[in-house]
Amino acid sequence: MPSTKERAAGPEPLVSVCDVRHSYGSTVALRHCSFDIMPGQVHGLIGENGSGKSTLVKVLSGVVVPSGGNLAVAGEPAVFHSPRAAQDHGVVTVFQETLIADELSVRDNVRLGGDGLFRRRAAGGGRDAAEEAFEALGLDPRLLDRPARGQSLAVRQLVTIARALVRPWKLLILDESTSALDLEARDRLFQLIDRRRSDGRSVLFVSHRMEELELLCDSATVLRLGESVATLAKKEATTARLLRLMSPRTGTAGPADPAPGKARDTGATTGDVRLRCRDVRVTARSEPVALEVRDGEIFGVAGLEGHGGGEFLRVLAGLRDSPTGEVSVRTGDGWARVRGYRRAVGDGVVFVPGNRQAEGLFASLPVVDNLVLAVLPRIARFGLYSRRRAREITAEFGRRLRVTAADPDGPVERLSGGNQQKVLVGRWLALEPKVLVMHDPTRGVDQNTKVEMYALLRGLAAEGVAIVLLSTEIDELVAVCDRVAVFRDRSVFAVLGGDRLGHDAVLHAMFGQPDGHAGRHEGKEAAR
Amino acid sequence: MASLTTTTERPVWARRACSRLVAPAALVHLAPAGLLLVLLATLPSVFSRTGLLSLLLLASILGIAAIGQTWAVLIGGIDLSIPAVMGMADVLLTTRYAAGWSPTATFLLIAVLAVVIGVANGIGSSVLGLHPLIVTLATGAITTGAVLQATHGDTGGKVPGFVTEAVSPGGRTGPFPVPLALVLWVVLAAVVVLVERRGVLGRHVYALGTNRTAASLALVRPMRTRVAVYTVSALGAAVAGVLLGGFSGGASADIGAPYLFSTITAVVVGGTSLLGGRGGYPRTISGVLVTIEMTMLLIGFDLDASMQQVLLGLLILVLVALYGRDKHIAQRI
Repeated sequence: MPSTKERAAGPEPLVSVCDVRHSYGSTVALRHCSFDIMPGQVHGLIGENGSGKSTLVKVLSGVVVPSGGNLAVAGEPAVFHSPRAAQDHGVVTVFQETLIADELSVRDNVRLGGDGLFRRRAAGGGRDAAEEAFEALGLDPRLLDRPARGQSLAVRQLVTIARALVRPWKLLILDESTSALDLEARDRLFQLIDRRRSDGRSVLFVSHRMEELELLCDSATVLRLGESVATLAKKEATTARLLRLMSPRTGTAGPADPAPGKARDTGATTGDVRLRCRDVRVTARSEPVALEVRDGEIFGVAGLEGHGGGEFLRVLAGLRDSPTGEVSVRTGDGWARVRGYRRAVGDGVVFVPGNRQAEGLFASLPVVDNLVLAVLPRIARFGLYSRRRAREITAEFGRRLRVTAADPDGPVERLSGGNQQKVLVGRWLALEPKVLVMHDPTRGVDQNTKVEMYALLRGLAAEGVAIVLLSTEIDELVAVCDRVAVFRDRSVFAVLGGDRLGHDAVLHAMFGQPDGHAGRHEGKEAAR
Repeated sequence: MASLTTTTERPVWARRACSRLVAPAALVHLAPAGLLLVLLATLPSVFSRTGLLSLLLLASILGIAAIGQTWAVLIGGIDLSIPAVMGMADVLLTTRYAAGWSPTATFLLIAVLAVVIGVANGIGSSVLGLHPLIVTLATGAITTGAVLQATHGDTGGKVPGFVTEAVSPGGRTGPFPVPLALVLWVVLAAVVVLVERRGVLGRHVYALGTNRTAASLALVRPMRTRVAVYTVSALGAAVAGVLLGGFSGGASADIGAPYLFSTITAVVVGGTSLLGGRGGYPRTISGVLVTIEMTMLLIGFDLDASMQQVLLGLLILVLVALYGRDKHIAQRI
């Protein structure tokens, strides 16, 4: 491998990516991609969705054999023909999707793939490693003996991380693997990474979150349209510079701020009440929630994972029953109680699920089908619909949401994550909702898509749609929402709005600390 | 992500071999023509009006029986009750007609019972939470048992003349010298493809087969869709059973038995994924033609029935390995 031999003296890179190229059919995913990951370093990898990050991760983990170029591990050229080959070289990957076998216990999920077909890995060793990993990640080891089914997204993600940690790794690839974690779990993971790197192990960290990259990485490579445009050391890698490198269209208002300028005056929301919760409880032991959301209001839902925000959304959408009280929505003829999902949709309440792959998309079906599916009965006559009408709807929402899809008849799985999310949102907008309930619509989505999504939400609010937005990013909530309900212990801890709505106030409330006059249940919760 | 493991566990040479294949849908539809050439080269006697019409008539019966199998597989299920429904239709047709019922009344009875079986399959696989494999196996066994009980294994009876004519190569449809069964297949196939491509039901079938959770959230009603699919399947099987009765002319509850294997063969050889959500009836049409042609080829070689089965099985493996795998399943990551 000439390129590695010619390299100047100095420590040998742990893994080198040398001019790797890859195409899926006629779609070029990676053009020229070269960079080195040095031992003991955390190396960031950023780029918009569709820039080739996922493909590169797949190449490094042996899922995809590149069409050209090669890798070198400790100076030795290597091509990974299978995930096992990658692992034999010490490269272990935590994928963006939380790959969990629901039927198995949490422990077996941690061990998954470590077993042979006939040989179980030495039982004692496996046990300790799994428990160790769980403790290091701040999870209760007793969780190991529970079934994986029904665990929260955050726990699932931590399980996939633990699964990687119990293997012998030299390079750990984290592909958007922190997106479902709350801050506490994320910080524990970062500390863990910090400890492990001292013995020469490296991490390739793929994330859309600038602050995480800044916090963690020693160096970062920027991908743009399948090319590695630059590799920067920590001190050079300012957010502004990274964003400039990533985006071919920067120059407009820098998307460094998740939502440039607070375009909404929170006092301006004067629409009529659209959605009303009375005495609603997330679980039987929760405190009751009483809330009203008005037309044109963007109402945020915050809280650490597992603190009830997600469940509350499902109650609003009619997917989950509240043991007491009721959710009502104002329709053309008075107030209708939300009872059951389908009726809620009929009354104008739609729900955009958070787990895109599992609950949202039909991966192998065309973009058109994915977009029009929910609205299909409305455009059909005698059970048949017009393809032209379906295409028109797709084109209309494609334009509105700025979906970049080469072929609307191609499977939606070929689109980038950001575009997939837009298609999913489009499916629900096509129903012309009065209330839009969204579960973390910007999770794992690139910066530009985020900015577009915020603009879209504001536009919808201006048209009078009431929006309930759950987000794991506090800055996003603060920038976009009029009011934010912070959940803690499956109850609303505080509702913040106006001047009281700020990053610190939300963060404090999430951890149960009343921020000045913000707390409603002051003194109820001690700090953790 | 199940495909992640299936893709990568195949050795490199296999992956390369597969990636060189051209669009498999085109291959699927070319296969019947290619096999026909082989058939004509080895058995020139097929190349006659009667020979070709016989081939197409057999294909019509299998094609109509495989409509429901295709849809059942598309929603991620399977319908094992098809042979039983065919047997029921055959027995009812021959015995009721022999007992003096009018054909219309007989057909009505068959249709009603087919709908009952289909609805039972659909509801059973939704409400009981059982795999359709089990539910349809059970309804099929119940149906066959009930038919045997009612007829005491009597194989007598007779078939209306027009049914016999519908499946004979010399039969006519109105003024046209084409047997009715073939016309019926063409018409039904057109309707089925229309519903698959442009029907709300068709979209719901694909959605349900691709992602059940997402389908429910996208306002697809899983139980209604299943009931519709299995009812269509039972009705198709009933039609195929009546036509088969025209061939045999006698009552036999297990006349449909070979169609358990052959409907699944036709669907799979056509390239519809048993995992659901991919494929469709146009592929099954080619699968049906290939299945019938292969059977004729093997019969032409004068092989006995057991040897035919062995070779048919091998041929299916080869064909499915060649093109039955959707290219982009292989590329899905």
